[in-house]
Formats: sequence, structure tokens, C-alpha cells
Amino acid sequence: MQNELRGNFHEDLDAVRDTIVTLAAHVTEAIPRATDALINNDLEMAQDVIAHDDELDLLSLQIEERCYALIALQQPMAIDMRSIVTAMKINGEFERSGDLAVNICKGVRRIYGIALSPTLRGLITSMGDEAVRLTRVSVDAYAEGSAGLAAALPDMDDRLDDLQVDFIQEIFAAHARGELKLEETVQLALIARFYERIGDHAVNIGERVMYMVTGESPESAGAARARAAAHETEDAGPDVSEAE
Amino acid sequence: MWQFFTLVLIIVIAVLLISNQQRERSILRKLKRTLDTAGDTRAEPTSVDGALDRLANMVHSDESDEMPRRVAVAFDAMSTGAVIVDADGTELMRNARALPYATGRHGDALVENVIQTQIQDAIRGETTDEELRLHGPPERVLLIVGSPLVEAGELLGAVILVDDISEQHRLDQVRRDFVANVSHELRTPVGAVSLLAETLEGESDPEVIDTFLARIQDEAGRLSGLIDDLLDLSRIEGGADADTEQVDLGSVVRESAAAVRAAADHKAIELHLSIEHAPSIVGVRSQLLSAVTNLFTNAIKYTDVGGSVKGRVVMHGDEVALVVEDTGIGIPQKDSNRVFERFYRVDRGRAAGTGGTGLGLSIVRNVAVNHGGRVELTSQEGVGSTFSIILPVHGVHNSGRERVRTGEIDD
Repeated sequence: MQNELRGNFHEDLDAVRDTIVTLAAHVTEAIPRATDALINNDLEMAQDVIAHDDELDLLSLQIEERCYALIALQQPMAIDMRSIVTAMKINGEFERSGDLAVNICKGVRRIYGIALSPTLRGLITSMGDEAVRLTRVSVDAYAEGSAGLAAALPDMDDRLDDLQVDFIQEIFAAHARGELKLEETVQLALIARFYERIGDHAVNIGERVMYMVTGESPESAGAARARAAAHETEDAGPDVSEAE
Repeated sequence: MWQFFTLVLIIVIAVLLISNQQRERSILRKLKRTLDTAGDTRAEPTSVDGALDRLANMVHSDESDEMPRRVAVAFDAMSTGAVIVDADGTELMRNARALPYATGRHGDALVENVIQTQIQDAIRGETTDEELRLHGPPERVLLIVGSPLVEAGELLGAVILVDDISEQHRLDQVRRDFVANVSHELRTPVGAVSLLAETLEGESDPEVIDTFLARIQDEAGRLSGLIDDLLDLSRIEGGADADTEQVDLGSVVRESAAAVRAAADHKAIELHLSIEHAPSIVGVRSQLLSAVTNLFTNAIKYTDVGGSVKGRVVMHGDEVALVVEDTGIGIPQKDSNRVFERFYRVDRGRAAGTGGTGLGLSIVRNVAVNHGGRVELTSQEGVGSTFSIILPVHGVHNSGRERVRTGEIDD
């Protein structure tokens, strides 16, 4: 009986993972679509991505509810507990990345009709490619439970950050040359920021995967320092209450 | 009296026995023939029982082993992904093509999503089809069809078929664009000529008449250029009247660059050549010249004032690459596979002022293919483009006659 229950538990956990992979697949599709909408001034595509987001929200909600049910019914421990907590956190990250793709599309609507220079189009294409690559690697890291892949994400994100900086410089230069209006410049700067945030979410997912696999969260080091500091004050002065 | 009856009985039994034996023999004969056609190579069976056993064995082994194995292998060899489920929707079979979807991520996970939805529809008796467009990369279009399996009114299960129709989609697009583009390229100069001629009718100012005539000549020139290019292209595609000879690639690049140097100087574009180690290959000199000139012309056309264009000849093992690199406006990723199509334009707006025919790169690709090679393109918008014509150094496309001729040249 116990074994059967645990068997079901792992099946349920696998189902949660598969649904997250599906959610992530929707996100990795939404990003290049948003990029295409931006580069080709394609309002129809933009509208498509925005409308499709409801499906992502539904998936995300289903994942969350399943996780609650698993915790409530199975009272998981150790790696099982970490897997569920990771699933819930990662779920949120992917959902946010999907929202950012939607934000890019809303930006596309606001600057409809803009003529982008080849340099800007090139930079947008590169940012889009990097954002997709990061998101894909983060899904792979999660699905394979690979700490190695997860560890590669921060370095990969540096490239996206650099691209964003280049892009911002380029749009300000274009604005100074009179090629872009102020509103357009601001919208484009926001869009660049959206891409950069997608990268950040991928890095966050990587950190959560590290936690799932190793039990060490990236905040562990900082938390240990804070505890040590608290310990010192405890030795020196009056008792500091446990704040965990 | 009883003796008579006994005799009759014995005779009847004997007749029965004999006829039975005959029947048995004829059955055995038939069985032997069946075994022969079934490919049984062992010694002939001596009794009906033995033959039946042997046949039963063969049928049995065929059913449990050989046939399903063949079916399974054929199922896996299908280019269509297929998933078969029973009436409850439990998966029974999935062929090799459909396997990656089950464990897939990214685009494949979305395909699996559609498969699962269609399974549920199909076991309710509904036939569904969906065209799934995946942005990728790689960009794919899949047609997924779910149908219930019904025999004599009973639902046995369902089958879901997944077809990759990306290539059909691409060809469809190419065909549609070709017609639209070629009409556009032809209509523009013809429209201009007829408009100019119409305006000329009521014109008496000799200066205006001269300007208009000059423009009519320009447009006519453009039209005839287009037709020349089309003829060139069809000649190259046909591969006819190609006089092959030993061609020094260095001189090809040098001559092509010389042809465009004036245009480069006009835009203050630096034109560098690096052709020290250029080999000779067997090929059609005029074709190679026109291909490289086309690449240089494009490079200069799409590079801003003050940029640079480089022409290089690089050896890679058995291949040689004629590389033309620019610091121009670049080509968007989505167009990089399509720029070699006839009349394909990345952007009509930016091509309008350049006066090309839309056939240049198509000619380049055909020349490369004609020489047993290929064309490669790497580009980033705003950074520049690099086109490479990659050719085998030892021409593989030549017929014996041509080889003899080049032999004479070598002598």
C-alpha cells in the first residue's frame, strides 16, 4: 500500500514536470514570435502572442494546484519536497517569461509603423535568439536535473546583458541623430529590458535546479554569512531571537 | 449366409481403407505443395500428421515472430509519425518517427500536447486535424490528424498521424512569391515606359522631351537587362554550351573586382583582395566571372559610404572558397535561406533604389551548383554579410570529353 502510494506520487511528480516542460515550450515559442512581430511590424502576430497567454496562465495554475495537492496528500520529504518546491518556483519564472513576451508584443503595438535600422534589427534578432537559447537551456537543465547545465546559465546571460547595453546605446544614438522619436526610444528601451528580464528568469530557474539537485540554494552562502554575523552579536551582546 | 455378409463387410472395409489412403495421399501431396510454396526446404514429410505439424509451426512462427517484426520495422520506417491507442486511450504503439515527441521538449512537447488532445477526441469518435506551426528554430509546420479506428460499428481505438509538411509549405511560398515578384519586376519598367510615352505625346519643350527619352531608354535598358539575366540563368540552369577550361580563380576574382572598382570608389568603399594562394580549377570561366561579379556588385550596393568589401580565395582541404565579405546592412535571418531564389527581395523598399534585377544571387547559386559546389551565407543585420562560393578543386562534374580537352590544355 505504502509502495503503491509512493508509486503514484512519483507518477504525479512526473506529470507536474511534463506540464512544466509544456509550459516552457509555449514560452520558447512565444519569444521568437514576439521578436518576429517586432522586426516585421506584424500586429497580427503580436496579437496572437498576447491572446495565447491565457493558455499559459491556465497551465501555470494547473501546475500550482497539483503541487499543493501533492504536498497536502503525500507530505513529501527531502528530494521529493525539494522537487515540488522547485516546480512551484520554476512555474512562476516561466509564467513571468511568457508575460514578458506579451509585454514585448504590447510594445510592438505602441510603436507600430516604426522603421528600424538594420543595426537595430540585427541587435533585436540577437537579443531574441539569446533569450530563447537561455530559456531552452533552463528547461533542459530542469527536465534533466542537470546541475552542470544550470551552472552554465549565468555566463550565458552575460552575453544577453551585453547585447542589451549595446542596443540601449544604439537607440540613444539613433535618437540623437533624429532617427527615432522620444516615445519610440523609450518603448524600445523597455523592450530591451524585457529581453534582459527573460534572461534573468532563466538564470533564476538554473539556481532553483541547483537547489533541487544539490540541496544548496544560491542564497545559502549569503545566509550562512548572515547567521555567522548574528552569532557574533549573540556572543557579544544580548540574545538575538531565531528569525528563520 | 453370414459368410457372405462377412465377405461384403471385408470388401467394404478394404475399399474404404484404400480410398482413405488415396485421399490421405492426395492431402499429403497438397500439403507438400503448400509447404514448398511456403519456402520449406527440409526433407518431405511422410505423413499428413507430420506435414500438418510442420505447417502449423510455420504459421505459428510467422504470426508470433516474422510478420509482426516486418510490420513493426515498416511502421518505424514510415516518414509519418504514428501513435495507436486502444478504445480507452491507452497507448499501444508509437513508431520511431513519433517517439521523440513523447519525451520531447520545446517544440516537440507542443506536438505531444496536440497528440494527447486528439487522442481524447478520437476515442470519442471525432476526427480532428490541426496544422501546428512551430517557430523553432528550426521552423516547422506539422499536420496532425487524429482518427477513430472503427470496425463493424465497434470502436477499436484511434490512430494519430503526424506529418512534417514544412517543405511543402516552403515550396508553396516560393511559388507564390515567384509569380508576384516576376510580375512586379516586369511591370515596373513597362509601366514607366508607357507613362513616359503618354506624357511625351503632348510635350513640345525639346529639353523635357530629351529628358523623357533618356528615361525611356533607361527603363528599356533595365528591361533588356532583366531579360538578359533570365536568359543567362536559364542557360546556366540547363548547363548547356558550357565550355570548361582550366580557370585561374585568382584572375577571376581580380577581374570581377576591377569591374566594380569604379562603383566602390564612388561610395568611398575600400576594396581589398587576398588571392595569393588561389588555385586553378576546371570550370566555365564566364560563369564564374559573372557569379563573383554579382557578389561584388551586391556587396557594394548594400554597403554604406565609407565601408569595406573584401574578396578572398581560401583553400579548405579539397575545396576552395571564393569569399566576398562586406560591412553592409546585412540580411535578416529569416531571409537568409531565400535570397538565392529568383526575384526574391528581402525588402522591396531597400531594393527599389538599387536597380538590380533580383536574379543575381540565383545566378551565383546555379553557377556554384553547376561546378559541383555550393553557396554559403553568414550575415547579421547591421554588421555585414559574407557570401562564399565553395567549389571542389578537382572538378567532379566533367564528362570524359571535357577531361580530355583539359588534358590538352595541360600539355
